[in-house]
Amino acid sequence: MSGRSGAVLLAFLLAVAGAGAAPAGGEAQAQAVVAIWGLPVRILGSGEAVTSYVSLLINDSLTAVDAQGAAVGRLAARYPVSPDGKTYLVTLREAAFQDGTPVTSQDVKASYELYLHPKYPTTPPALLEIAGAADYKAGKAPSVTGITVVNPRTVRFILNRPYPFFYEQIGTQPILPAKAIAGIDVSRLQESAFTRQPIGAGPYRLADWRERESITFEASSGYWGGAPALPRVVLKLIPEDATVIAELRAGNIDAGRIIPEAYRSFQRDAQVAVLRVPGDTFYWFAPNFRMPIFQDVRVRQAMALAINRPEMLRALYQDLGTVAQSPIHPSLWQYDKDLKGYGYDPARAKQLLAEAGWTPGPDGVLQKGGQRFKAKYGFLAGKDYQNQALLIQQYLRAVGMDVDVQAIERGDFFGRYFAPGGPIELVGIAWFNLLFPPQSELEDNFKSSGSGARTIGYSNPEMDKLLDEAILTRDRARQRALYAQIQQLVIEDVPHVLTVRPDVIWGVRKRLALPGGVDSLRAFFGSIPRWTAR
Amino acid sequence: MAAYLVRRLLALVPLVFGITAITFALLVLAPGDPVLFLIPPEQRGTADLARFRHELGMDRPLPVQYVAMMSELFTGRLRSFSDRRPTTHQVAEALPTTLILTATSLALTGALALPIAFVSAVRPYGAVDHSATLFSLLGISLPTFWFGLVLIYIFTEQLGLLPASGIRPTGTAGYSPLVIWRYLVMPTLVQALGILPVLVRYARSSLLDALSQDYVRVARSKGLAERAVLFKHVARNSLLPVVTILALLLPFLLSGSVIVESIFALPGLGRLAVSAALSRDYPMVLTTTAIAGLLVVISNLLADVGYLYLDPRIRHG
Repeated sequence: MSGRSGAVLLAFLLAVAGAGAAPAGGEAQAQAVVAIWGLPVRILGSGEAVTSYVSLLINDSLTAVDAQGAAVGRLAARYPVSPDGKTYLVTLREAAFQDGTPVTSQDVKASYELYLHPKYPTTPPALLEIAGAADYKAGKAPSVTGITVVNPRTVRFILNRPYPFFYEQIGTQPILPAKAIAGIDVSRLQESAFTRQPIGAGPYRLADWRERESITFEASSGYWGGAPALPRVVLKLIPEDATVIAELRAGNIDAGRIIPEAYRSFQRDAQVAVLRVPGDTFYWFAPNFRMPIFQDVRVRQAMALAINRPEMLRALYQDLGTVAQSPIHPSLWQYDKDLKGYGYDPARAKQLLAEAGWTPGPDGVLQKGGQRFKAKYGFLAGKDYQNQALLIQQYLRAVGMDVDVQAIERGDFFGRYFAPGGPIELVGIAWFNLLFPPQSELEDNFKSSGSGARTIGYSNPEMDKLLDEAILTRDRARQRALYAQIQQLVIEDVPHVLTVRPDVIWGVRKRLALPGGVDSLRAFFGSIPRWTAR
Repeated sequence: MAAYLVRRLLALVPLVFGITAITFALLVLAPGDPVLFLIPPEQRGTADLARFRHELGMDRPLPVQYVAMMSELFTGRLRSFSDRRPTTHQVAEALPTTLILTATSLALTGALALPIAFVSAVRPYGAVDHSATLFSLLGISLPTFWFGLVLIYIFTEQLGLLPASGIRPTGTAGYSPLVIWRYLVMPTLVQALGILPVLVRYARSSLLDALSQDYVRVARSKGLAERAVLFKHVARNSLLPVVTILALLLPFLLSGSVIVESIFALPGLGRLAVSAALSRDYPMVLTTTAIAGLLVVISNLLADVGYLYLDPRIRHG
């Protein structure tokens, strides 16, 4: 009996070998399979990073902004602004949705009215700059008065004030077909068929969506910029890093994100090209400003000086990354290249603490008027956060701060801990750049009314003033100077202690050719329509 | 027999309520507000939390929430918090993968365990028995995820023979055995390795027990061929506890599927349940625990029915 089952097993293994040797057919040539670590839950009304990447493929917007900060017309062929900076006259180019209907001014108005609908869950705050938008959002007006359909190809936007980020923050919303969204019950947005079968004016059409498995896109032949070269693109969900690496090496997928540990071995791989760009995620930790021990800026500066960032990069990311000094992504024009941040200087840290009245007690822990320097460092449970927390704990202890670390499970972290009024003492977290324009990121984190700032109790009138000024000037050079000042103030006032920005590393099978200029994770997904098969 | 089955099936109802009530209580007691998961952090300031809470029905008293969710679950109208689709849709998408993997794992385990146990029992402390003991020990000690990664390293990364992710080629549909078997080989091996040692040890001791019984000596003394003794008398009698163990291993397979489905990127119930729990999707957690609970209870029922067939002495009145 065992002999027979052994023979069966052998036959089985041989069959495995035979099937595995079969070459990939022509079908595989025409499509690209990209491994992804998570799939969107919904297409509309979501703030998830993956949703915005999917949206880059299926949707298009009136305008975009290139890395140098110049406005680029997408669906808008012309978009002049009036001398007072309040009126934008947008003329649409000849473009069509994936169902073949042309993109008209009606669609533009309907899309913005959807995002501003009283019951739309995630209205981008910048849209409230449009005249009449606040009334419409509050349910006090039947339509947004600041958006007028002039003719089928021209639409006029009127703003409340000369807000300078029309092209970045307002023009970048996806334009959806008015007819398809007319039937959506906005209070039950997630239940509507449209969020699962979206129609956009982008280069790819969503062809197939399998929960926890994959999303398949097919090239849209009617795309105004010309149909993309690859007829089919599949985003395939693979949660485990090691599985991505194996599948990439075996050629079962065409592109996948690889962990720093695998970077060097892929550099030697003849079949796989490695793309390494500054990460969209940077890590930071912040004190709770409501606690008296963190209110002295010298204490915060001492924490910033105590952190050995190059060592963190070496130990955790194989040196593949950069020291984070600015909350703005390096690919953006707002990023200040000349910024001088903190080096590793524990001696200076101790000196600053001494100046603030904190001196080492008998056990080496800092004391001031009988009070010990003790704080709990909470972080989102996960490998990256945990490794960093353990190093940061060690660095802070080295200058005399008694820090305990505690992992907090995701649900608890966002539900209770990292929310205004949460029991934060020190909190370790990360921020995704490029999901939102830098102005709204900065406002959220550093302006006293922002939810991130309120969570840690941060408020600095000078910061508020700088952030307000940045949206009052339309002069690019002046804006650049203001953003440089904001970044400098983040360093001096230390609302967050920025630590590291690990690089994003992609392995791409060499049968695919990627365009140049991919300088972020977001740009990687945005470049998919320009990929070609060799 | 029919009355017995009806009674057992009716007993399922309070059981499922018990399982889900405890699950719901645990969910509510665990920190973390489901509403905050649905709103991007930078919009928490402006979003209308009360309206969100009302739409999810979370502004009602807890017992009312539970009863409402359960009645919606039984009528198939219960919707997930995260994508607002009926939870039964997602479960229907995930269940085939998990059931197929469970079936192949049980089949492989049975196909391997019984011959190994048989040889081990017939020649106890022989070469096969000793190596079976050694491999059982190894199999129990090896962490599932490690074994999975080793298989992937060998069969995918080095040999390029088997795909390491998914249940079928990307962009295709269905569960055609001719297509999906290549995707199931490694996950099945990993799942089977976890339960194989248990089954081998049980089957072996049960066989040894049977071999020392008087009826075996009688059969042999009657001059029956050894083959007939082993297969007709010993095997059938000693299968009884093995059937029980197989049924009891099902919960083990279901919980193991969480890890296996993650490593091999399988769109199954295990990952659905974990992601639902992590995102505080109460309706989805209740649905998956109810389904898993049902599967376990039904498998126990099947084991009991299997008993009836294997042992005519057992009668359920």
